Amino acid sequence: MKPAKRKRIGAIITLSVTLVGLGTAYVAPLVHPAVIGRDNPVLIDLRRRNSDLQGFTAQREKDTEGRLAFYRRQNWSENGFKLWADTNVRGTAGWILNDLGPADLKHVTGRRYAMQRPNATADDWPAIARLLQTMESAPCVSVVSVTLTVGEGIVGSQHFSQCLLIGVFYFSGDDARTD
Amino acid sequence: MSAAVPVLLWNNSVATLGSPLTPLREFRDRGDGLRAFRESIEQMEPQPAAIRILYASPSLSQVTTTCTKGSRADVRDGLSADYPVLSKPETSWAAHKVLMQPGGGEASTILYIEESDSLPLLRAMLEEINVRLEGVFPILTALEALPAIGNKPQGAVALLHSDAGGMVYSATSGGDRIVHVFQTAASGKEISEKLADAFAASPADKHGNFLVLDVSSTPLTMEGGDGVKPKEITLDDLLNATTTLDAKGLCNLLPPTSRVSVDLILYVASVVVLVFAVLGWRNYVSELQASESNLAAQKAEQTRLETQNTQLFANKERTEAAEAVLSAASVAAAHKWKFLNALNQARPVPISIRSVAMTERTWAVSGYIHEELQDPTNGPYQIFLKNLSAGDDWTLDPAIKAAVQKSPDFTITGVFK
Repeated sequence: MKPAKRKRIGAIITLSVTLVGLGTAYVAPLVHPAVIGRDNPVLIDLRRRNSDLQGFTAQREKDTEGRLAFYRRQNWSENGFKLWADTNVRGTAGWILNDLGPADLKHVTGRRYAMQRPNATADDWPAIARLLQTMESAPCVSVVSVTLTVGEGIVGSQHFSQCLLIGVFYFSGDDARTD
Repeated sequence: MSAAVPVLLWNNSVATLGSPLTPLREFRDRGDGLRAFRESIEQMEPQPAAIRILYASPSLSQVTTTCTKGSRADVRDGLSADYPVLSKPETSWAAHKVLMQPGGGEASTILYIEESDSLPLLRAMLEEINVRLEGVFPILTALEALPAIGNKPQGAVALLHSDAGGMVYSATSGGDRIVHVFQTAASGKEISEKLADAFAASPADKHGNFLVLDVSSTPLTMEGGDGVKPKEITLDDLLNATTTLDAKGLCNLLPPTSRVSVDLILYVASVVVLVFAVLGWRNYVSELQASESNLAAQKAEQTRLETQNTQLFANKERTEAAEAVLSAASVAAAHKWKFLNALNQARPVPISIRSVAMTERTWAVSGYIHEELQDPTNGPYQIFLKNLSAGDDWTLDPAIKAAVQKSPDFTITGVFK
């Protein structure tokens, strides 16, 4: 082979090699792009969720759990309620205790009780007030209704035609988990 | 760049400006004329940087032919059909200026083809001694460049004669040209016959130019039998005319090669491509490195966020569950007992209470006003309202406070705080 021909072939090979290099340099980023990740969807989602969850700090959870624990300590037990009812309602003359059944509540166990004092007169007022005060001062009791009505006239006004106290008593047994 | 020095190389004889035609020294071993020529150039004082050769050689064939008028490439393309050797790029060829016959006739020229490869070899040999060969021109192209002819259709007859050979040239004003070359020293008789033919070919021009160069050791006796007087020309005239010839034109057997060769173009293109390839790779590698660095940072952030989010989500679940319980286990405001006591204390004697109804948030009291209803400002009812509204834990309906009580029966409402 003549030297000139060899030289030409060498030049063509050199150009071809550099062209291949050039092509590779510009095709490689398309085939295997550098992942800069400015728009990393996973990170964007994680940051958004993190932002949404920022309010739920460990301190808040601790405070809430503390309040829940305090609430649970004050929940009524069967024995506790029986004792309270015997002392303040059943053991007191004139009161009738009616179990109205479970309160329509989610997450907690509540029972509705009606304390009724039929044939009450003006003289029974202290007993009525005392029971009401006892209920309001007891933990985990919500007095949801008080109805006091007297009769017509001067005579009637000395007699209660209706004396009804209704309270919801919260018993132990809620659905919150404390892991 | 200094001007190229003209050198005459007529077969194996050499002449330069101001020096006679001298046979080259023959190398006994090889008889290498090119080597001898290079040696003669090497011995010139001062040694020229470039030369132009006025050339004649037995290997140089010439023929008068019709052709295409145009550039060197056009002429070659036009002649390639009849002279296929011209299509080969390595062929050394030249031609006289293309002349058109008057009245739009055919174009014609004298075509020279060097049948050996000696000229490129000669150029390479001269480059070895740093002498650039600017061109190799057939002797008669210099003859036509003389002022007496001027490269235009003009009647002329010329005789060039030396010990190295002879040439008879004739041209007519109609553009016809005839050449006869003697490769060796010719006899006076042979030359006379050719001259006669030349004059016969252009009878109308016989009184025109008759140029003679005779540098042979036995000069011919020119007898202008028809009254034509020869004009003597010298080797210097031809050599000087050589400098006027266009090195890139038709008349150069060895036109200068382009300084920018295809190989060079390919290598330059390779360099340019290489630069862009390197830039492209550098950019890509930088992006890759940046992305890897960024990716590591992202992974760290992702891990941190995932851990944090898991913890926060667990906090959320527990907090919300606890808050749901606490919210569900709401205890009504414990103001009812206080309200009943306040009600008894606020009630003036002329006011009777008939009913009290309290819910978790609201209260309602109904009763009867026994007397002094007509006093809208300081009556017992107003005092009752005023006393009852003094409580901190409940409020009265503003509309009731503002209204004027006209009936002894009343109902007042409000809410617990």
